[in-house]
Amino acid sequence: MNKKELLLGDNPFFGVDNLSQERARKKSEKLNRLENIVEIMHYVENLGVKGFVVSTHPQLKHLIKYLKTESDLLEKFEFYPILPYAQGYVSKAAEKGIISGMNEILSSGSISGKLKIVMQGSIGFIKKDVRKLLETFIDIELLPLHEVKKNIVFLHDGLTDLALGLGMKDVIETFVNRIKDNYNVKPGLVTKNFPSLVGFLENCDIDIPTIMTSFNPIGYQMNPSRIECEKQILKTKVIAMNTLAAGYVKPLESFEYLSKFGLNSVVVGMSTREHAQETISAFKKFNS
Amino acid sequence: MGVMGMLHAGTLNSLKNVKVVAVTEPEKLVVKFIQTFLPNIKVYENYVEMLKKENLDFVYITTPVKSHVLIAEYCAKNNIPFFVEKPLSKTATECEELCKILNKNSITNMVGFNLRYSSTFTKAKELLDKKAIGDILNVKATAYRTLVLKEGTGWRFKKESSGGGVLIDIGIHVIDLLLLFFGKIKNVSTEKISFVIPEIDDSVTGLLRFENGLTCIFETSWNVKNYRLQETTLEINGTLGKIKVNEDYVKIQYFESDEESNEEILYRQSLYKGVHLDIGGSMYASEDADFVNCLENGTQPGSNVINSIQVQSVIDSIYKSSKSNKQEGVIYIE
Repeated sequence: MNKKELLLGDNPFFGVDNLSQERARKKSEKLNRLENIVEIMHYVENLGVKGFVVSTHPQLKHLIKYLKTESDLLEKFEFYPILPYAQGYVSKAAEKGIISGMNEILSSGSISGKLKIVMQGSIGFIKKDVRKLLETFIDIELLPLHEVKKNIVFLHDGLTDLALGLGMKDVIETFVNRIKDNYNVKPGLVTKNFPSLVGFLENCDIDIPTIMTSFNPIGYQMNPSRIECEKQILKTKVIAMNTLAAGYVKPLESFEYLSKFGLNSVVVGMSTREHAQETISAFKKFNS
Repeated sequence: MGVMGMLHAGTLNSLKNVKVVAVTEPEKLVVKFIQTFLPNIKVYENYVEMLKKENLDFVYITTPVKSHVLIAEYCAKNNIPFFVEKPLSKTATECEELCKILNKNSITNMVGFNLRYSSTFTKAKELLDKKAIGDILNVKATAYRTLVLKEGTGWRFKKESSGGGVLIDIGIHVIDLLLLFFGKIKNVSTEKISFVIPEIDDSVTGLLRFENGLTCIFETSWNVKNYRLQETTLEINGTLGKIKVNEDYVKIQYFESDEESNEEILYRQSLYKGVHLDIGGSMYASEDADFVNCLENGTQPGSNVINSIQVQSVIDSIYKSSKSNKQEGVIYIE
């Protein structure tokens, strides 16, 4: 990641629309067909977008399989996975309880045929070695992406911010070390609390990795405030997310605002050719 | 601790003057997790031991529903302020003793109806209080979330632990908002209820009649497609216009003449205010900050136990009506 890049986000493909759930349902019915996702990927790739930010959503493995067999896009894109798929974990914990939910996730690894990972996890489970278990969950989440080029692997904001709130330095270190040592890939953290996280990492003497966090002209999900977030921006490499405040802000307005800061990259969910064209041309206007 | 316990612990721990010092957790693997990653937090097997040994300023009760009232009573008797996750209890009658204790001993207490801290519902309440759409004529209220419709193994799928299904899980938020917005409900008629798992309702439809004469069509369901997150909606019709509000936006339509209307949509993006720490939603940060603020000022939050027992009374009446197949009056415990 040497120059400021525009990255494609996967949220609209998987029924996530932060403007409204109503709009998400309408989009989801139309967009989550794999051929539609691939069409948009081809379109944005032709316009110069080479990075794809993906959550480890259950549909991801189907998308990767489809990309592998039906296109050459796996070669053309670098992936930026965010794990775990927090919504899935929370739903499983609510539905089955934390322990049964964890067991089910471990079983899902064995279905994928990676027995070694599951064995490690099971030993961790039996011996109650929670660091080993955490590493196993990271490995299971990354299974669908083992054949793709990964630029940075991010820890989901749900876990990053929980670790931040409770001061769990070890959780962040376990994640960072697993990604660096086992995958030889750069680790990153997603957060909704950018200034607090930077302060926490500095206090813990952890090298600040790339941080993905909200940056937009209206201060949406910028905690504790837009001004406080702006003050910290030069302290680390930052990938801006929520840049259009989930469709509330137009690309031109957003990229003009973002051009004032030394951001590394910007991620935007682009769900139609029209939206992609508008977004990419606005991005190029302020980043050429 | 559970998912909600962890979320609140993280949010509270980052507030000024608050430090999480002890938790109760029976599950050995979770205990090991806490001991490994949070060595400064003491872990107890049961709450009585914890409350006897620790000198706590307040307690968060995020256990399965069946133990809420028991722990809340213990806290109230021992002058320990407490927060309890919603639903407060399986039934309203279960809360009679707690209600008596709190009427005598008014320690700060709160029930976790987090939608009261949503920017959109707060805005809608503000508009209604200003009579922005005139006198209210009728209301439609819904709460949906897609849930995998197979038998789960957790406590939520056992009535003796949870108190019921979708109604007590997400429909309860609607009832709380309706009572907050429009006052007491006089009687209820459950039109339709379905169970995929015995005794755990997955869809409830009914009619609610308020003491002020207002009526509300009410529906809640897990048995719906593509509701990845909970979506709670109130559609309020007034003499001068109408308001539609959910977690994402408030839409206000003012009637200007018989044929014309003027519409305004306020999305939560434009209503957003930064919080001290957002873990899983800014509403939780605002909720926890309000509890601590009330505690420091010796006041009661709006969503306290006494108010929440009224919510529970309405839930009881909806379940009662589903069995009797007739209109049931709501009996409030004061």
